[in-house]
Amino acid sequence: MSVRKFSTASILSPSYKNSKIWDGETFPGYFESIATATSTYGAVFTNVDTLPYTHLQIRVMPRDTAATSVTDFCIRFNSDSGSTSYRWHRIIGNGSFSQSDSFNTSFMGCSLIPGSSVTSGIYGVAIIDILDYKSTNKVKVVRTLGGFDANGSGFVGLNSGMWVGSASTQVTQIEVFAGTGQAVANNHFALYGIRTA
Amino acid sequence: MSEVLMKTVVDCATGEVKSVPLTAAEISQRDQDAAAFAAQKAAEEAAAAEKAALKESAKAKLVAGEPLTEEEAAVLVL
Repeated sequence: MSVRKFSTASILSPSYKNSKIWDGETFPGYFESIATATSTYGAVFTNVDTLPYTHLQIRVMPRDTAATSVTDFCIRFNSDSGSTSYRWHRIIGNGSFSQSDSFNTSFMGCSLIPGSSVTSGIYGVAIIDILDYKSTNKVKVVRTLGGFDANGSGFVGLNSGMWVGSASTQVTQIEVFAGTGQAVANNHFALYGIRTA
Repeated sequence: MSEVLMKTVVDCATGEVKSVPLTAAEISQRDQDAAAFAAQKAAEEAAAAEKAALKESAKAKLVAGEPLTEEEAAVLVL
């Protein structure tokens, strides 16, 4: 950022509007924290189209109450829960086997997370990138790297997915939740924004 | 008393954060999601089991010098 305006008034009657001088240190943020939430179900970020960012990232630490060792963490846009509104792929592995899958469902699977049969206190982690979410000419896509380690078991996975037919639709609302729809306490959801240069 | 499911809603325009109970429709959707997920898992596990069985069968036939079916050959060839 360079000097944009400087005048006598900047000295005599300083205000943030007419003292726009670079301090030599501060740069505008290109990757910024927007909001953080904890929940026993999931989180819903509304009016995301009002944010001044090109891409969004959600970092999550979830766990599910499902009576299983592993389940999926999911994402949905603009409350669209059509039974085939999302297509997604994943590559997963646990150290002894690897597998790839594809699905066409009412949500997009983002990452494998631990269920209730995994030792308490162990949470999954995932970094979910939502690219060009305000575009009106590109289908909205999501890429996620996630997994969990349960001290002898666990999974790692790489997921990618698309919101079918969304080329002309801006993402205005993002819902993230555990696959069975009920996450445990202290699940953590943090939304970040990424500007283009 | 049944547990009330709560979701955290963050309004990015105002910065307001609130915890609100799920509506009946949302709970119904949650149940549908869970059922869909269970169906996917079952299909996925069935496919994996079928593939594993084909591999075992192909392996046994190879050892015994018997001809493989096309499906058995397919799971062995990269």
